[in-house]
Amino acid sequence: MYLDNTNTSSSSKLKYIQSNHKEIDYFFLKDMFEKSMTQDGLSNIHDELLDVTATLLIKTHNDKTILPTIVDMIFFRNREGLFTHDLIWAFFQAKDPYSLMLIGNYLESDDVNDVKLACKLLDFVPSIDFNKGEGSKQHKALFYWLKENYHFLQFTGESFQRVSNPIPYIVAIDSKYLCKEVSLYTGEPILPLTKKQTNLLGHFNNLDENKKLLLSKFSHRIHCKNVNSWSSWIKQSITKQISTAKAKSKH
Amino acid sequence: MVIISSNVFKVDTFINEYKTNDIERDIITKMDLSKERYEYNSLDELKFELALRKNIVIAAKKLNEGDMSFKTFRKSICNLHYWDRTDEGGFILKKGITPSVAIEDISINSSKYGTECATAMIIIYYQALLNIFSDKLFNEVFPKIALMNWHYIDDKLEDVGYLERHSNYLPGDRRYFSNPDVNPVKPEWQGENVIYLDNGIYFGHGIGVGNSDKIISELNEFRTEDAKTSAYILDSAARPDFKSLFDIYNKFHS
Repeated sequence: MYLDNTNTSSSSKLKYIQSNHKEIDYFFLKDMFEKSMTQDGLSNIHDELLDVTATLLIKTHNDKTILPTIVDMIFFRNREGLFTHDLIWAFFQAKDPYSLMLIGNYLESDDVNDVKLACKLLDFVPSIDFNKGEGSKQHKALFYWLKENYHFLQFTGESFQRVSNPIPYIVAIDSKYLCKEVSLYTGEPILPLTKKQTNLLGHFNNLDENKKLLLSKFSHRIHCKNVNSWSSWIKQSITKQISTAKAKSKH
Repeated sequence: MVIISSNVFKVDTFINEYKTNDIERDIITKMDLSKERYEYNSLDELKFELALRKNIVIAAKKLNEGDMSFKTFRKSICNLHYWDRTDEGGFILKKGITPSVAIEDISINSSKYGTECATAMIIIYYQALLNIFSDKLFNEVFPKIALMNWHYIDDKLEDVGYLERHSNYLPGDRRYFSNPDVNPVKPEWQGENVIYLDNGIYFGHGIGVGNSDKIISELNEFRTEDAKTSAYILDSAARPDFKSLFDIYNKFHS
């Protein structure tokens, strides 16, 4: 095959893939990626071929097994001052919140450039702040944030082309309040709401942002501890819910 | 609503300072009719924002008329007499080069430049500010310039990297069209950064000038074959920190 020929230049392979990617077999793409990744950073055109291959594997073939390699490539290129923009976009396009832990691993790197980039990519996570230092604490905080919010995350598609501080995942705090898992793609509850839940949400959505955050966090916490206690709490009036959440959140 | 020094400002007389077709008239009218509060410490501060918005629009139109090409970061080009091109595809002002001269060169020798839509926005902001600030002030305020989308933005311009929802949108606003079903081999068309020119017309580098239907139609050409979602405009805009830029300008001139 044309792409298999080691005499075919990266430039020609790239043009071919860009024009014929629908016809190229997954296993062949994967093989090409694995053979090429060892030469990451050697030339612009070779890296572009890697980027396109990676993007196709992730977006067209939903291959998430390459995400650890992608993250390592991003951080390697960043240290070398090379182009990372497209690879970062491809990584987030995998729509895999748990893969954020791969970036989180670099919070504890000895290389300050790694830590800076990790903080920049994870800037949307409340506990992450480059100025705080303490990489291992922030790594742990990321883990707990993901654990708490995983079922309520919606993928937004925001990228560095759009804004300087992309927020690729947002927490659907209304669904978190109801402890209803949401679709990663739409942010809507996977199971339809009951009339009671819709009514509850009506009251919830009239609250200010701080109260919403308080209630959603408390609701999730109590639901994880004891579903019966949660059930009793959520049946109370919204005012009572708030005062209970405020009182118990102080401890 | 326009508020100056905590008082509601009646724009009726002020608006006559501008000619019928001046874009400032349109902007101030939109501000006046808006639910949003446009607050200023002085009339001069308001005039400054109007002037800067006007110059953002002028700079956008000028860039459209020039020969700067659309290029991905990997293939970006610049006039190496004034700029160093980084391995990331951005442009850094060369040492010893006057910033205002380098920014002007992007218009004068536009064919020597090629970049993508976000970097084009930053160029527009710098060119707009160059039209309002004197060269001396511009060079003092921006001694180092890096051009690469929202990375390395000067602190004084960092607000342009953030999109926020507003009650209405004004000429000079940066807006964004998203293309969620973009063809994976064409990631540069995942969206389009645009400057709102007025009357529903936008400028986006790589597409040109057009209404939202045109921008969307062009972006939709770069989707996957089985695309389900059309490109669309986000209900948000980015705006420079007009107040702090005015403070810099005012301090220099007083």
